Amino acid sequence: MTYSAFRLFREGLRGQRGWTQAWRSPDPAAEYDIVIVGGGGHGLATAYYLAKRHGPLRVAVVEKGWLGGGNTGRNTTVIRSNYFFPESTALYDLSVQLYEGLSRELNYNIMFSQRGMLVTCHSEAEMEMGARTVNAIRLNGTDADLLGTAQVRALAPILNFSPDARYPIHGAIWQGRAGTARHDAVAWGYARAADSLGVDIIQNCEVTGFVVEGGTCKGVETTRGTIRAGRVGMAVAGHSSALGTRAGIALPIQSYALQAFVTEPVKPIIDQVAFSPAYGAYFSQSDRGGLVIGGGLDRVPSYGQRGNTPLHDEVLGGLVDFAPILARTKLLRHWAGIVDVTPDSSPILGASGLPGLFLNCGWGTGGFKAIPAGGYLFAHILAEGAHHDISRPFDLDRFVTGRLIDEGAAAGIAH
Amino acid sequence: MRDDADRWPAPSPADAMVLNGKAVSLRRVVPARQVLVSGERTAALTLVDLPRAAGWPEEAGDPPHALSLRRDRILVIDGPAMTAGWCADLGLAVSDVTCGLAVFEVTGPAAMTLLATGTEIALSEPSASVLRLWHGFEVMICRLAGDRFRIHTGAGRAEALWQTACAQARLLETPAP
Amino acid sequence: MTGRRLGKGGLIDRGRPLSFRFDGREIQGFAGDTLASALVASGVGVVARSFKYHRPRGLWANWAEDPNALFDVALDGVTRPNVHGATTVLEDGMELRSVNAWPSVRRDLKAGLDLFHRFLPAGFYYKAFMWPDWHLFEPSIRRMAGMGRVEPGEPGTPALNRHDRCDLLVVGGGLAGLTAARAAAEAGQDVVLVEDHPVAGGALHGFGGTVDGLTGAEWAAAQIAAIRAAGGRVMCATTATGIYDHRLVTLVTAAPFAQAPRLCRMRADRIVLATGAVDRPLVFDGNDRPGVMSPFAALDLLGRQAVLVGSRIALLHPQPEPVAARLEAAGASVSIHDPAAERLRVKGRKAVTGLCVAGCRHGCDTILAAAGSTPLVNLWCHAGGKLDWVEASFVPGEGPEGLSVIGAARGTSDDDAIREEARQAALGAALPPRGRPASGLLPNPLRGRAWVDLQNDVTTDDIALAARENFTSVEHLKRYTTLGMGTDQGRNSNVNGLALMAQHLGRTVPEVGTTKFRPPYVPVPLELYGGTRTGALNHAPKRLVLEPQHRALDAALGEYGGWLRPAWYARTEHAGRADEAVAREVLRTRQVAGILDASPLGKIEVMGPDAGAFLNFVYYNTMATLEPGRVRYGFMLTERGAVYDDGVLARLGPDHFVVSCSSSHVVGVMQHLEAWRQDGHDPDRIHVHDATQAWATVTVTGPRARDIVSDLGVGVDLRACAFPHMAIREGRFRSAPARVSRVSFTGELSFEISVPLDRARILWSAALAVGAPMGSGPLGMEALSILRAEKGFVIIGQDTTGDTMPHDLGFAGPRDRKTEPYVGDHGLQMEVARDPDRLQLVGLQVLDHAPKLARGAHLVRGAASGRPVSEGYVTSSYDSPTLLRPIALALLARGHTRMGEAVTVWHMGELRTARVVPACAIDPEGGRMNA
Repeated sequence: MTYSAFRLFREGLRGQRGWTQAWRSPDPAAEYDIVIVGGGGHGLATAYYLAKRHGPLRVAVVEKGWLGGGNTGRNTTVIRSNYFFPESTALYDLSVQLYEGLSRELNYNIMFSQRGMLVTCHSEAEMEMGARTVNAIRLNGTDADLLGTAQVRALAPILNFSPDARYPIHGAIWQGRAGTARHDAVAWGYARAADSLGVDIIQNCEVTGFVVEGGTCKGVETTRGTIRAGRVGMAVAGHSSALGTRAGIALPIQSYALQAFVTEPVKPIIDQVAFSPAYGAYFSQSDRGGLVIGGGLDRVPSYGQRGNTPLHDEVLGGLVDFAPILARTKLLRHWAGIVDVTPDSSPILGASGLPGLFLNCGWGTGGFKAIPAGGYLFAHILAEGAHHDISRPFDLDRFVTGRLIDEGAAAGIAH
Repeated sequence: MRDDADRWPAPSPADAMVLNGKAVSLRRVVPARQVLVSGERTAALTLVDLPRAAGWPEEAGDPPHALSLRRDRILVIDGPAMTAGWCADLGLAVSDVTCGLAVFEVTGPAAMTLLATGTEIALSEPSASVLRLWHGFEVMICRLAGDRFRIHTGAGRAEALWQTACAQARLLETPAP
Repeated sequence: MTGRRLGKGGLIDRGRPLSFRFDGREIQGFAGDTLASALVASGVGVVARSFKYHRPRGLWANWAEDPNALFDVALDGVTRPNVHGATTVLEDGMELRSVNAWPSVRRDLKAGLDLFHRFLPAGFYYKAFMWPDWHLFEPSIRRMAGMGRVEPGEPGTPALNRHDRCDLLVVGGGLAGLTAARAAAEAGQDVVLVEDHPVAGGALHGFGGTVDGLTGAEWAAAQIAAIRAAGGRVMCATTATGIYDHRLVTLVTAAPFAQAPRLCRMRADRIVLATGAVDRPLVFDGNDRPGVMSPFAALDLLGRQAVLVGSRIALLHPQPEPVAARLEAAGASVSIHDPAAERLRVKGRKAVTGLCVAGCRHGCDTILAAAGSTPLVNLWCHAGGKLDWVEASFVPGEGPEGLSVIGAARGTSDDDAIREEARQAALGAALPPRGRPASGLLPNPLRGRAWVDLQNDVTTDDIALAARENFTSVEHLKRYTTLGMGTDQGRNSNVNGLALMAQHLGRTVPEVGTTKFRPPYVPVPLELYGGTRTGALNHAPKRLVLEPQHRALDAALGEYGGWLRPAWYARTEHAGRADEAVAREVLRTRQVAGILDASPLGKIEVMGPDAGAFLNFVYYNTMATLEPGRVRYGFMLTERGAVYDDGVLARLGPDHFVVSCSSSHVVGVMQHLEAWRQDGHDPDRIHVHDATQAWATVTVTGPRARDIVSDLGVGVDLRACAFPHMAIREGRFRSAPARVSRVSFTGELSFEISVPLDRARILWSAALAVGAPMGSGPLGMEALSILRAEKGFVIIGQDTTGDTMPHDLGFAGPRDRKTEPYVGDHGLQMEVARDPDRLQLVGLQVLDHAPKLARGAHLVRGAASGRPVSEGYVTSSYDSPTLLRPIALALLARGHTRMGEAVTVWHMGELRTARVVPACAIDPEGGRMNA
């Protein structure tokens, strides 16, 4: 069924009785051409692009909980492609471009709002690094600008321009095409579209192991039985290491808690995404009015999977220094996701080392923005059994060749 | 080119770092000598001729005393003069860091409350080390006796720690609503 | 609603009247009122508008679970958005404005939206606004969303936040909590009781009656006195907002309106939750009208603030008699109706005028309706406790160690049973078996408009829609309909929502699921965090002991590597022309000498019999052959082979080394050394001490440096034959140890003199005084940057990235020849390390009379084709006073093999040309340093 304002009007007159299921709840079949483990944004997008661009294929997504319930439903919804390396720009800008047309393509309003992103620079040296980054982004073929103080102030007057500010704002790296989207809608939009193209999305079905025959992965063992597959793709984010172990794969991934915060809704007060590395916080305002806030990783992993309190002083204290007018706005809730971080903080796409099993993981703190590209490229990999040009640099073998794509290193940080 | 000289008030001289209050009093003290000794504990105490190195919340007493930083490291305050470097006989490394650590005394009925503004610390929770993070500063916190405590931090951070301690002390003096 | 104040009773102080304004209208209250109770007492019925449909809202509950009464409040220049009326203490002079309503709650222009509710069901915005573009619709939607308004206002004073600990933390000061806290305190435990109301007693105030012959208020006060007498601590107006790992509980204590609340992080050995329960709303047609209230709220208003909510009250409650009796005793007339009756419907629009029951209309001005009770289990769930579904509510089930739940929060309603549970919990004993919680009604799908979430306007139709569209898991239900996502965090709506979904699916409530509760339990202002670590104390830079001397020389100051350091001197004299001050310092250093405060330079002592072998492993360069008295330049690499830090290593003796790392990396280098010392080495034979802040370093650098240092009396033979370049000597200065190194970052003859901090001023003054007649002077950081750049010396992190390897900088020797293992050796042999296109350090020279290059400009190939591709970038760029022309350093692909080549420089779309030259532009043989 097609969604539209007209349909809303019609169903409004009919007491909403004509709406159909957004997706089915099928039982798993015994066999598929491709099984995707993980029903988050990446897994669902992969299924969609497989069905849309590589058909006809029988595809299933197997999700241990409810679809979109992992990091896809917990992130701070920022979408951007202001990266230094051409390989990164190619990946993330593919994603931005796909996001730009996604609502129409999926017939689902994901509310992608390109109101721009500011990465503020607080010294002359930071402005010069900002210039290096802006130049790189532009040479990589996407949009960026280095703004001065007055320009930043015109865009986001609530930031701290006081003469007493701890870190005066000299300017900012600006990407106008960056923005935010409604995270749940991205998952639901892809799920509904994939389902309508015949993909079986099987929720409440946990993968407990892999079927390996003759050294090749031929399917998955699940809490709802064995499912055989021509190829298996894993897109399980913070669970990649644990699940990888069951396939006999050791992944160079460390899992951390990443916290996020949202305030009570207030009337519009900022249009852009604003990030200050110096103050250690970033924020944006959702279309419902709440401010969505994020910062760095918890230093110590938490058993409660929700992070702990020392980070609150750093991130929320830093945020109030960054935008003092927000001091009396109230925090409504906070939570955390488990992010899978690789040594260069760039994702892993491609073969796993076990034939028949492929990986989409290691997105760390930046997976949401990459959902369309991750899905598009992973679909290519699973359908063709080979890399797309854009995914090739992110293969697992880069940890052998040393060709890491380390954005942090580009900023001068050796680690 | 940016000049921040007017953004930062000149730091207080050490002898001006005094704050007397009813709830808590603060002052900077300048020990005659502060020496790091690393190596096996008994050997270290032998070298400095002290009976023990205090952890938390043991009372270190007035100097000379030794503070336990790690299993294999102590800080000796107002101890004997020693040769810096590697002491081969005892297998100890010695560094004179007298001027490198700023020391503050915190006294008064609310001294523990002041300490507890910056870190989780309680007289009932022992620790073998006096090292802590206090309001984000790397410090050593020791108890001299009763409600007299000392905070040691890197000399470069003395001004910021002093400002922080004063700000917290002033909040403590204001009665709760 | 026709609320009114009774002449006596309640906990208010009628001797202290207060006045405030609401949407411009003047209203009276008393000390002890909240904003909500004062409004109700004055007969105000409509306090807000709902989020989506802008329907009028009255007060639902008298504490944190009320989802309606939110206001923007101003007092004495301080403004707060979304102030929660039922939990905020009234202060004289407050100005309240309704949120998300214009011009006022009584006449809101957007109330017309409700007429279109059919076309605005849950999730409507996902199904439209795709054509032509979301951006067209978004601004209007954003303006309609949001509730309160953030206004500028007076900044606040930071709160005194603290840490604390106790043996037992009791959360909740009602019958259960007070009993438990007293029993534990009298048994000798270190007990803390927190109670979120200003006055303890919990539900006792509302239910009336007596405990041990005392009124609720008297009994509560007596328990508190006893607890304190036994050494326990009681904190009222304090809310436990979250439980974190290892029983850390965040406690937030309310403060006057103009001040920030206070945060206490309490570590408890055991926690008893006595958080009580709230009414679960009855779901029926029109149940959102102002005048429909929680029955318990009506009692609580009566008991605490002596407010009678109405004169003619219709009561729908599973156990109505005690409620009715209490209200009638206060002077209302109460009619009791069956909450399970068919076809219940509210009459009235902005106020209740009647209740229809199966077609019969009963006139009333207030409807008190509840379907059952919801135990407050938020904190239990934060801590990972599980929930059991019993009768018609979720009660605590299995949970983590050290945590227990008692009283109404456990589903226990009998007073004697509550007190017994409390006594057992206080002693850490097993609780008596849970009794049967009171029964309740679960909602059914019905005709008409019935609300499940009052703030977010989620109705039974929305839940039916979610079921129809297969958003059936509890999280999908919540996110799709926004049920439970308002400021009441689902306290009122979760169970009803789940029950309705269960009905649609033909399953039980627990099969549908339970939602997570996320901290904080109540919304808290962001100013609660950060404490004094804000503003100037937010990562304040470290300060030099010589700062007063620099200021006396009128130094401009800046932050370098975490220290506040002199950027240049004589700033007033050069006001507006700082580059001239800097140029003067460069020339003075090259021609005579410069005096530099180099105190932040790392001085890490590495000692022990294995120190030499250890440092040989940690450094890229071979250090095992370094002899006592000698200094060697070296890199520390990451395991990947990237340059982490550069610096010099000095050997004072066989077992004594000093690592002089860059000032910004001291902490990182210490961690690096400590990590490797304990991994693959015997830590008892290597010790690492950070002595950086114990030593001040004064560097005298320039052709006349030796003349100056000779007059300072450092007790070292300074002749070139006795003291070559890259050597260290130990001497004395004013009876303190002194270390003198010949190391040069400027390319000139240099002596770095390190003395204990308390000799710094004398040394500095002496060096300046001795050098002044010769024409030397102080040297700031900006001039230093130029001096080192003229020599092609890198600054790690500026001229290198986290991918740069030592051979990129021209240091290939150890990679090719060092045989002993070292950190990074494998990384230097990886495929990427052998890539011929690696970025390598070079110098760049501009064409004659051209201005200096922009730092951050990229070097590109293929500019002619219109698709330029980056092959490096300008990392340092200055006007050289020495050479009277610009200089630059850059990282360029294959740079070392491209000497003399012309390259294209791209900056923000503009193109220039430059020539590749060696990085070192002055004295490449090093004769000046080696003098």
